[in-house]
Amino acid sequence: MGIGRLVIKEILHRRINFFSGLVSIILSIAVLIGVLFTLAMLDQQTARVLAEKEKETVARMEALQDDYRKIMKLLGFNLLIIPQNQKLADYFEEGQVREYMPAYYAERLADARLVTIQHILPSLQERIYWPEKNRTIILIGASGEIAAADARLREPMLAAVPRDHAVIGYELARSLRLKPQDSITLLGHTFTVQNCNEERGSKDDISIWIDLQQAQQLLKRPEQINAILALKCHCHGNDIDQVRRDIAAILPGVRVIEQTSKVLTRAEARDRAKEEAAAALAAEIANKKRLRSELERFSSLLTPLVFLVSAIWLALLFFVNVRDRRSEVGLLRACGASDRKVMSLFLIKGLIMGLLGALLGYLLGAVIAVMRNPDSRLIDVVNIPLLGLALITAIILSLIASWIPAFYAARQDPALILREE
Amino acid sequence: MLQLQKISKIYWKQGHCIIALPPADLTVGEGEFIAVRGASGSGKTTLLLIAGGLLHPDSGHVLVQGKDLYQMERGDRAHWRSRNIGFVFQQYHLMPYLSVLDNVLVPQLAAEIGGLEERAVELIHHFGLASRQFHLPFELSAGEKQRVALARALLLKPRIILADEITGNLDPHNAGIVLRFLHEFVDQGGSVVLATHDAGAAAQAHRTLSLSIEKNMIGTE
Ligand SMILES: Nc1ncnc2c1ncn2[C@@H]1O[C@H](COP(=O)(O)OP(=O)(O)OP(=O)(O)O)[C@@H](O)[C@H]1O
Ligand SMILES: [Mg+2]
Repeated sequence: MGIGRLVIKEILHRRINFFSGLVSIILSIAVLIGVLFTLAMLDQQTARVLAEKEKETVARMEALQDDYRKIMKLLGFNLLIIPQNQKLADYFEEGQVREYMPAYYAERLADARLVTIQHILPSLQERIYWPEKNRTIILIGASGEIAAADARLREPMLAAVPRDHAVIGYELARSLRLKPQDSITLLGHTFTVQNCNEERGSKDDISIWIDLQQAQQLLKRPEQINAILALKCHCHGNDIDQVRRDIAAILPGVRVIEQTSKVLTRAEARDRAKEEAAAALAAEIANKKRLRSELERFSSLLTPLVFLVSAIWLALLFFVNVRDRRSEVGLLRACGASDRKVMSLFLIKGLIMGLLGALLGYLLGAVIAVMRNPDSRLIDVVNIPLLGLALITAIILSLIASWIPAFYAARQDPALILREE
Repeated sequence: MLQLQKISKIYWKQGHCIIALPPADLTVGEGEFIAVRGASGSGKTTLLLIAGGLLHPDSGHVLVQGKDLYQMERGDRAHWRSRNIGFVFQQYHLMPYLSVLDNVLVPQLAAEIGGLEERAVELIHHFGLASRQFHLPFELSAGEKQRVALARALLLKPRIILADEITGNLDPHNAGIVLRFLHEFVDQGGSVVLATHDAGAAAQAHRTLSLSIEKNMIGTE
């Protein structure tokens, strides 16, 4: 018979003593592990939310960027250069320019290399009657971007509509049931539909875009344009007046109209969305942090208290056990057992209690913490470092609590015990 | 083999001096059966505890093989006790949660020796407890308990049995059985010191040491 067997038989014999000790260890360890689990899960959550929000933000930014590009390509400009003699009142009323200027103005502007102007798009547009289809449209002749000398670094903003091709506005395409590759005849000339635009809710929906030179021929306006779109994408500031003055110096007899730039608005919206997302994220993280620190503060008080109470309770139970076993200790002494042997009776019991308490307490704490957290899985219960911590803490707790009673047991006077009836 | 020289024990209680054991001499030789007699409170148990190295005397010496037992280290004394002394008590001191067999094996645990299971089973058979081997103490009669205690004391083949009132709880029949086992042990060369106030039991001893109670009523301070 080994000492382990004796200890186990004693445990089974005095079950209540053992189990009340075990329960107190289980509870302490469950509190410790539950708290640590919850803290770890909060951290995990924070990290996950951070990653998710970041992904979300990136996706949203990408979507916005995409919009931005589309708008830039099709509508985006913030300066419209039109002939000076165009009456503004008429322009704003009709939404179109009825005066003309030389086509070379665009090249001249490009050659001037105004750094704030990124893209220069000349166009000729006119409201016309489309005899073949019996309706009024806006015909827009657009060349591709005019390349300035240093434009090679810049992405072209607008692919020109190739000759004999046409881009059809939404309303026209819908009512005439046009789709890419269809042929249309316009003022006696045949065009292939290159593309049909999506709905924009503007006069664009009844517009047709064709090559600038072809438009000039069809409209009998050779070498003429009536507008230059100057897209100034990277200029946020208030130097618009400067730009306006620069342009006026280069191109005599033009009027520069500042458009409420959808591009800028979009860009601003994007920046604002980004800021908002960042602020929301920061708030969420701050909230999580606050929750965490509150829990941490609370548990940094609770956990030691639980452990202290548990240690006192355990020590008490061990003292009771030592008292109950005076006769055993006396007999072991009479048989020549060493102090070490007598102490080991109680310390081994404490060790078993600690081991069992650690495992069960770990399970209890981990399972409760995991179950209380809706987005963790049961597999998260397995956490080797925390299990190790539970084992070490429980064993230290039970050994400290059983050591003093064990020492007391070993120091008892056997003569006194053995004389007892 | 074991020599008690003028050993005495005094307790002080609230200024009163209680002489638990007046100075006594006793030499225990090989194969001797010695009875220690005296009324209750005369110091029989005290003498046995001192002889067994469990209680420091206030005077005198306990010599084993020429060495003073109480000059030894605590651990050495425990070791000596485990190899030389078999204690048997009136109260049995059985571990309530261990079977008869395991109870008999307890000294092997205390002495940190292994491999005595066979001897334990032999002893159990010898003491007529074969059918009780796996029973718990509460299932045994007083006589059986005392036989288990005796078997336990004999496990490590001690040279001396120190028996304190071991027939005190037994009927004459069972007392007779237990005393027969003590005789058997003596016949095999062991020594027995039996504390008893039972005249019948004392009569079976080779020698008797009488402790008188009057002597320890002396003096107050
Ligand atoms: N720790 C102690 N403190 C004070 N007095 C004690 C102590 N231990 C023993 N005594 C006293 O010493 C005396 C001898 O006790 P002891 O137990 O040796 O007697 P005993 O002869 O064995 O008696 P019994 O036959 O009743 O067992 C008793 O009067 C007892 O009260
Ligand atoms: Mg006594």
